[in-house]
Amino acid sequence: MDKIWLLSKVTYKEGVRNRILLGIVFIAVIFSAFNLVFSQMFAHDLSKVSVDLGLSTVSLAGLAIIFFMGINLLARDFEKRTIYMVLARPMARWQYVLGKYFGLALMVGTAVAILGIVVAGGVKLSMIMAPQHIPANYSWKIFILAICFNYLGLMTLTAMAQLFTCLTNSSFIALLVTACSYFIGQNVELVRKGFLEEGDVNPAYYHLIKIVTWIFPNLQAFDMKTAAGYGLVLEPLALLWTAIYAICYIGIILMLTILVFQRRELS
Amino acid sequence: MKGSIKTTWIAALIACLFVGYGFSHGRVEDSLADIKYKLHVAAIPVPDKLIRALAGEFKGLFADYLLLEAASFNGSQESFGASSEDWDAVARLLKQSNILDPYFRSTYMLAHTTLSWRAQKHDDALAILKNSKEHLPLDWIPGFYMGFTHFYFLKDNLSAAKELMSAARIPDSPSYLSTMAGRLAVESGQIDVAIGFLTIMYEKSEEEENRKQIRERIQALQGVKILQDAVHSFQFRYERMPNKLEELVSSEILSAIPDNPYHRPYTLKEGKVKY
Repeated sequence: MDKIWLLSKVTYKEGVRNRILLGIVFIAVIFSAFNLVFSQMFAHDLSKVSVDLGLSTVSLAGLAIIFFMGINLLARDFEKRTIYMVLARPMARWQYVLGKYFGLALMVGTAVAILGIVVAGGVKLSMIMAPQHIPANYSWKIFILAICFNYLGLMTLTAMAQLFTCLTNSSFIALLVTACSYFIGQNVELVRKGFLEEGDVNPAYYHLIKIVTWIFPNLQAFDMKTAAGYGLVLEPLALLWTAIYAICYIGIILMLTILVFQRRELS
Repeated sequence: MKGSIKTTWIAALIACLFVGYGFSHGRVEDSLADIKYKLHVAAIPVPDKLIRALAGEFKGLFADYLLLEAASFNGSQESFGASSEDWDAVARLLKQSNILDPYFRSTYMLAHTTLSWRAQKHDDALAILKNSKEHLPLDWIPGFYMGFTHFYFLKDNLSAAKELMSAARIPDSPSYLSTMAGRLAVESGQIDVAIGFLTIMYEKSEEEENRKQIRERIQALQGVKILQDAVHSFQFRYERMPNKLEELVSSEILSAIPDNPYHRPYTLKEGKVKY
């Protein structure tokens, strides 16, 4: 456990050294300022627009961190051969995989927390400017929940990015495959509803979609921007199942990554 | 000497860049002022499912943007000379915004004011209002707008009455919706529907003033119903319409004209009894 924590800290510090957090704070402040202007362009539902833009900023920045920094951090060890230095120490391969993942999780978590706070400030300001447009059921609890579930979605994607980096050795290919997985994950639910529930589909196609919905994560489940914007009631049980779904999926992917990495010939 | 020539060249280059920037800036602004062009670009006819897929987790943000595009056009000078194609594009933008975020009130409000009032695209407006109504069961305004569109633009009193009745059943909806719905139902010849609907509203209403208004309206409609049935009997017996309601009494079809709770006489116009 100490070794995993040590590697997590090293990965986190490596990320912080990239000054990416500084960039994130800068983006968050810019978007929050823009939020005040953008939401005022609407005649109704100003708070909803403000929450939309705020939470989208958190999502976009989180994705940017995973795609442009996370994958690089993971692939750099393979590309620059620094992995030999790490594995030469008394550290098992599974510890390396988990250490890297938790380091990235910490990194993304810090960025999401900073973004969340700044964005919430922007949303609050736009609400102060137009109090008559705050939805009757608006709740900051749902706003915070939306950020937490967004983070869970990002963590799911990070686990996939790590698996693809281990499989391909190349940051570029890993980025492409992760981006495709993200797009599929966002639309798995839509495809399932659109095609499977209509019933009138080719059996082969039906089974293919069924398999795809099991392989790729349903990232749409973590999107609670609409609920946060309008203060829609969220079912506690549904939230619990979504969290369990994410934790289990991440666990399976990490196991798969460890399996791939254990069998990997690193010479 | 050589250094001064170099400085002159650099200064000239910088001056050229600034002049070029100044001219191009104006041109860019001119080209962007053509909102119609922007509108056509934005309102690409993308299938409903595809637009949801393309927007991914940013559906709300895309819906905001599409609405802003439609609202910008609606508020621009170009909209006064807009062609049918332009309004098609606006309808498409609003439909896409509504698909991406059916809870967004701004979309159905703009759809009603723009598509119904300005573009006369009532089917498009009704489709957006219907989708919003289904997603916002506690909001009476989409149903009210639908009722208004049916009544005012489409001259369909029965559909208007149905929509208003449905809107009137929503908690916190204004009390006048039920009386409006009742009146429209009568206009469309559905007196029984109107009485049935108002009776339900009367039973559900808790405010005394509101109950009094509905009770009077029910009494008036019951009077209309008695008189209308008598008019039909008169027509059947004499193969003509009565000239006055009093003829119903003189021909012994009715023993007396019912009381009108609004303290004015019932009237007969083109075979229809009014209160």
